[in-house]
Amino acid sequence: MHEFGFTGRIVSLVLTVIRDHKVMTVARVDVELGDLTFLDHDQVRLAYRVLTRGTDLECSELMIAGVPGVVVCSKCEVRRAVRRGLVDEDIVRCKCGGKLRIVQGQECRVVGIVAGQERVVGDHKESLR
Amino acid sequence: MIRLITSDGTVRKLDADGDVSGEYERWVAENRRLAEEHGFVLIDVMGTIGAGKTALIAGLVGRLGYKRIAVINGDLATTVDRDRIQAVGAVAVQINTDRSCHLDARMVNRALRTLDLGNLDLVVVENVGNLICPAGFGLGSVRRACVISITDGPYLVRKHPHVFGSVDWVIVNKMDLAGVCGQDGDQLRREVLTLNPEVVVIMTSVVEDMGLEELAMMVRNVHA
Repeated sequence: MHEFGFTGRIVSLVLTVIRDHKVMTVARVDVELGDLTFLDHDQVRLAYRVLTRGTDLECSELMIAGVPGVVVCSKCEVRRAVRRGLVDEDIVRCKCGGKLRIVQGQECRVVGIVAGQERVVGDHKESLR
Repeated sequence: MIRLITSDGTVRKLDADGDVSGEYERWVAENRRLAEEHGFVLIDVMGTIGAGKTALIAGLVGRLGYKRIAVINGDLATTVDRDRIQAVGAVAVQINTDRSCHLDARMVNRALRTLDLGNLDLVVVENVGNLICPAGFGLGSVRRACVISITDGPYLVRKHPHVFGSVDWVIVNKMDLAGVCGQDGDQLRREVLTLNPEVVVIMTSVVEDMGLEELAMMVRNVHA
């Protein structure tokens, strides 16, 4: 449901960065996506293909690296991983009765941009990806 | 910091913030800042569709004793909720989300900026009826409440751990119908507390004027 919103922000951010830093072509965009954002990676990739049409990112690939969820108990201070797909009561309450706080897994950040190849054709540059 | 790998393989670190989720958190922080700066209490009310969120808020308006209350109503369409709140004497702003399933911090920020914030004691945000998405999108409120109806059935809490784990108050409304639908309010309370021992659970019925004073007392005890 929220994949298009998040992906739209990724696309907007990358377009601004490549404009500001004069990156002519982009082959790949690397993002880190926390498991506890509950964003579906396939839907994010689909949204990326749709949202980049007609932009300088149209031919680029979106590479997603998942970031595992980690919670810390407010009472016993135990720290443990929460796996994607197994997040029900485990994400809210610790076995000791304390409330759990998410400390990792809600990230959505662009970490890398891989520029595409360019070649000079006549007087102008042409993207090769 | 974003890493740029150029076409000749050179790696450069760009002076650019790649944190997309951080952008959202900045709107959350901005709403919190507005509340602190202007000295009003901001409360976010989530809940199921038809749980009676608007009726509860309308019931609280006259009872709270605050002179200056504003309500931001979120719905896909119509101004029905805004009109109901205005009818009981509070300032109300309707946000129509069209097909979006929740209010986000930026929408709330826009609505807040239409209000005379310096002349408000309390702003209640009534989110779109939904127990799934709003849980993951904080609005910058000082308290978060979830309103459910006793008619929502016995498995609602267990099926929606994220929202019940993220709120301060759970309000079980329409308790006047508990007998009719054979539901046990105490069992529901235990389920909520098992999941989130720090939450306050209040049983209410707007029709029978049950629990509203207790709820009003809790709101009065919240400070910006």
